[in-house]
Amino acid sequence: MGQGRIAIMSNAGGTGKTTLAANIAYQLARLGKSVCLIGCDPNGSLALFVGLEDPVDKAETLSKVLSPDFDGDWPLLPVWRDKVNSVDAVLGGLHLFEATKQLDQDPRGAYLLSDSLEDHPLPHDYLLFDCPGTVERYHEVALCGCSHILVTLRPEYKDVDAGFKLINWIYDWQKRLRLKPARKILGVVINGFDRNTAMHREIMGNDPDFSLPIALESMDLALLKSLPFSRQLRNSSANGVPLGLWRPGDDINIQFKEIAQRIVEEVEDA
Amino acid sequence: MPKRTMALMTQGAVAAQKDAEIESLREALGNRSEHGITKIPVDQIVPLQISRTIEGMLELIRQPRKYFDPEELDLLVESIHSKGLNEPVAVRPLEDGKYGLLDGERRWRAHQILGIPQIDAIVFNSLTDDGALEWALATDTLKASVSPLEQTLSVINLLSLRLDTDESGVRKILNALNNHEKGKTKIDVPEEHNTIIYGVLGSLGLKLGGLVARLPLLDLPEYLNQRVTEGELSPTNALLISRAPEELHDFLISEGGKLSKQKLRELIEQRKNDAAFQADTQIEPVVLKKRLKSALRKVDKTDAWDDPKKSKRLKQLLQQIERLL
Repeated sequence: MGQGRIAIMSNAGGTGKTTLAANIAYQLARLGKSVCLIGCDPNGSLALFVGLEDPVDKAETLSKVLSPDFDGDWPLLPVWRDKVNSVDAVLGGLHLFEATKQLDQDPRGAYLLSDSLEDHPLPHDYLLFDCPGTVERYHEVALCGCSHILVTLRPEYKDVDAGFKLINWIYDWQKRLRLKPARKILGVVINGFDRNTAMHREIMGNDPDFSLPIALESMDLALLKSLPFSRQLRNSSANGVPLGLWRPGDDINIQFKEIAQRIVEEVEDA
Repeated sequence: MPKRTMALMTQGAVAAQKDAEIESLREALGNRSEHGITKIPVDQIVPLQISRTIEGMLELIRQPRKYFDPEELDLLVESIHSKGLNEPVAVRPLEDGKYGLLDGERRWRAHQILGIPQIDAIVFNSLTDDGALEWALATDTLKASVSPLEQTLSVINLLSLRLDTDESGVRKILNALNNHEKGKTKIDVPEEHNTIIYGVLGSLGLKLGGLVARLPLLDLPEYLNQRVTEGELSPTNALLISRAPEELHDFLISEGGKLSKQKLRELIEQRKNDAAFQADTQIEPVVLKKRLKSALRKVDKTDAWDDPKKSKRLKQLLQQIERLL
């Protein structure tokens, strides 16, 4: 089995990418897998959501990995080590903004992360890329580096419209970047579904003109989960731990676990 | 403004996804080298041939009408002669011990011309008839060199196999389905027909409306047909010409073949009007007088007099009219 490299993408802010990344990482670890979270977002909150300090120096971030003289000394930081022993993180954050210039100037630009992973492989079973909330340079970097893609959306028209533009972009850019084998879209995770919001009910409903599940099915894209709006989930993220450590009894943990299992099936059966 | 529908929001993504699927199919076809390549006697190979029985009658399915540009064939012969064969042809074994071509008819013909006894081939052992046709069609559809006419015929053949009916049966079903889809009629197309048709169209990246629009191509008279195949006429122009009065065809082929669709339409209209005008003068001089009088009524209103060119032309015409009257 090869390493599973999952890019978690969306084309809107606040869709729950980082929350999803942190919780899937935790659930994968519970399934006995080793995981490395990789922050690919200059405005990202990965450090906050996994309870780490913001990096002070760019050498403590992904920036270092994207530099042409990267020697394979990954800036790995242990995560939730008191509870699980197989989760690490490479942080992103504002230092990545400066590294964008590097990406623009380097002849291998978009392929830099992919190159580093090839030249200096990480030992983990799974890598989870936490992507920015809008299609930009680091999306290219993650697209080249990943094997699979997970798309997250809130059930709002703005998110859905932007989400399909992202999917359009994913197909187009794979072609432009000549990525082989093709990166597979694992599916879509809906975040923050609120039964009391008419728009949410419409988007998750049965009217073929407005139904997201029907649109996804016609494109043969899996709707992996629809996660409800949850205050506990927000609280756990703000406290730097996955929901499984904050409220182990919460039902949403089962859903995260099922997403993790689905990822394992996809990656290990291939 | 009405809300955006899912159809609108997914449009771009769906198109990009289709592109990606075709790309990966193309790649799969390109990766055939993982199958073993063997040498097969050139005279043991026959072109793609598919037969089947309908209601107890053995019938040979119409071949996609393949046209090979002689110049391109010459180039290929030259290239194989000097550099050898780059890409092996694809064949499947037939019951009589020969091999049926799936892909590479041109390369095979070049070998015949050069008198090379054997050709590099990949043998696909377990292909059914419609598997073979689909395979050949998929490779063809992905090649730029296949004309829309050939492609349409191939798709009809494949559907004819799948739906177990003849060409005219397939056309009836397609038209019914298309009308149904556009909401023109309410007849129910059987679910299994639906599934088969959309399955085939989907796997080839074609649209029902597009295929139906091309069906009339199959009825083109031979002389138009040939010009489409040879690339002298676009399929759209050939259809336009075929619908124009027959006595105009020769003129339209020579004058309108390379025009855009719109320009050709205008040319046809103009010719039709000219013909109608000629008919007018023969039968009804009264009409002519009326037209002249009504034209003269515009003399005071028109601003053509302000345009030096038009003014000059009017002056010339007036002199001619005065002389005639």
